[in-house]
Amino acid sequence: MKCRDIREMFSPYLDDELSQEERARVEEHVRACDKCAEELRALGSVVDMVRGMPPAPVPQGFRSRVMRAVEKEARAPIRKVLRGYRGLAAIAAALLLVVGAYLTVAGLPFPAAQGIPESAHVGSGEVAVGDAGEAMYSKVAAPEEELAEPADMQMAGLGVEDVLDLYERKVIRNAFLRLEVEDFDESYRRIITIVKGVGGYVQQSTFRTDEPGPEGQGGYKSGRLVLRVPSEFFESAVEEIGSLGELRDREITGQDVTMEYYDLEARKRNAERQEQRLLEILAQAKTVNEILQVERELARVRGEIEVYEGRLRYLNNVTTLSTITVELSEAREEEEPASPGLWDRMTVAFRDSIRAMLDLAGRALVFLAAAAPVLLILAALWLAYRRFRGRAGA
Amino acid sequence: MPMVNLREISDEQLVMRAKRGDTDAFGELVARYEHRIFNLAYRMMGDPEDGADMAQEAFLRAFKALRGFRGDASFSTWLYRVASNVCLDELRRRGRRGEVSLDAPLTTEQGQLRREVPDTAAGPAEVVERREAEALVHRALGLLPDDHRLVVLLRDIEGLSYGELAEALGCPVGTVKSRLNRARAKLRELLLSAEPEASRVVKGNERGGAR
Ligand SMILES: [Zn+2]
Repeated sequence: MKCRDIREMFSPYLDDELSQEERARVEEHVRACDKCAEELRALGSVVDMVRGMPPAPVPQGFRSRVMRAVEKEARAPIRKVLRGYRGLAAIAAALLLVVGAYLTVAGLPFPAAQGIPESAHVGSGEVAVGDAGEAMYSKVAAPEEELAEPADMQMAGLGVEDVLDLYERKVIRNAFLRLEVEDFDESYRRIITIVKGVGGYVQQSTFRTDEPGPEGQGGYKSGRLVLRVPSEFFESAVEEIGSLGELRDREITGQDVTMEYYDLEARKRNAERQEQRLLEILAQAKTVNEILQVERELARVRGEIEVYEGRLRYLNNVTTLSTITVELSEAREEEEPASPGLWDRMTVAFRDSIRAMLDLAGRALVFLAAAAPVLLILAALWLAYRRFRGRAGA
Repeated sequence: MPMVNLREISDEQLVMRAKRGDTDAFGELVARYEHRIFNLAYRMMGDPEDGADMAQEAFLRAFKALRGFRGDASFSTWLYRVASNVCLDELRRRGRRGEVSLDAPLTTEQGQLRREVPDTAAGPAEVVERREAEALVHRALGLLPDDHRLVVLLRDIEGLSYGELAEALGCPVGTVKSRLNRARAKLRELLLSAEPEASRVVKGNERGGAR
């Protein structure tokens, strides 16, 4: 009976995961009990055997295979979103058609477009609202329920902005720009000047040069810069950089983390108060057991505080400095400049005839659909006529 | 101007970059962990090709799920968890149940184990012994139930602590302890009750048990 309890501890014993007390108990038993000693030795050899298995080499080309799949996935999300909304879009389109038809038939003017905000990016989809956030809510005038769902509130226009104005706003802002420029190095220098000018810095930069072609053409440079600029200069910096070349792509996102930020601060304060209390208790603790218990609790609270501090530091960093990612590439000269006029005309002609063909096919289909009943009757008549003639001939 | 060398920055920083869509950063993470994840998947599936497929799937799934990675656990532990789930899912899908009851005498499996131990007549004895031992352990691992094999691999091949095991397996430390204990007891039964050769191999490796 005792042996079985001891053997339960063999695995953690071999892994050095036992307390000193437990360790001593195992060793004491094994000294006295030959059977368990043998069992422990055997288990030890088994562990050694498993650990002694030589590692297998990773198959050739494994990483590039993985990265190909990853790159494909990285480009996929947009398509996925579109696919996900396809059904919804179809319903919306059908509704629009019905409403449009109704309005047209009824002779009513379309309602003027409502003032839809240009960018609804500054949402709060990820704002965390935890229990400890209560401390913060009690400070604001608005009822708690209204604060609980910031995203919904914004849509309902309940003025979460006004409430949050009591605090300094914390918004993470990111911009992504894809630029085509004449001269890579020149644009690069100008970007650095702009960023330095507003007190920002370059966090990361990479670039590559294309292999020149056989006739010396090519050798284009392209690269990627990650810039950090003080938030108050975010817009102007994006504007200025965007004007350095042909803007191919521009995406600006914002994430409002104001709630999360002050919620974290409240949690941190709570934890610090708790730590203070524990220190007081510790000062009065009498038995070793008590001291150990309080110290364990203290360590836990300290760990919590450090987590909050780390997250707050991170939020401070990303909200005081906005991130601008710029992808730069040199404009490529036209590869077949022989007769662009002719080429253009050819493509236009080609496209036109395709379009004409599609149009014709469409008309043919519509005609067929319209003529179907008549054709069916004609076919039936023809069949009847043939049978009649066949019988008459025989 | 700071030119960042991806090799010199921490896992956490790479994760942050990868979350923003920087696939180069994710590539560096793959480079850091491919060896460990492949070996886990290989021993888990029992076959290098399946292992490579599952390891690839694990990295891909990790990339897709990166947004959900909050940094509560270390990245490596989280990645082990993803890889473990990929392997377990696949094994479950195949319906391969390596369930071996402790009470059952294991006759068929043991017979197989015995038969496939190669003859040690030729070659430098030590090399053969090592290879023999590896093949034997590999096969014995294959006879364990999937979740038992997993815990042994994560502990003895990948070297996770009990705390990390609990995180990677998503279960309490107590469960980790008992599962590992049972898995090793079963391995012991499989490996040491086999052919005399097998016992000899084990004795050759013997280092008196505990450290
Ligand atoms: Zn005993």
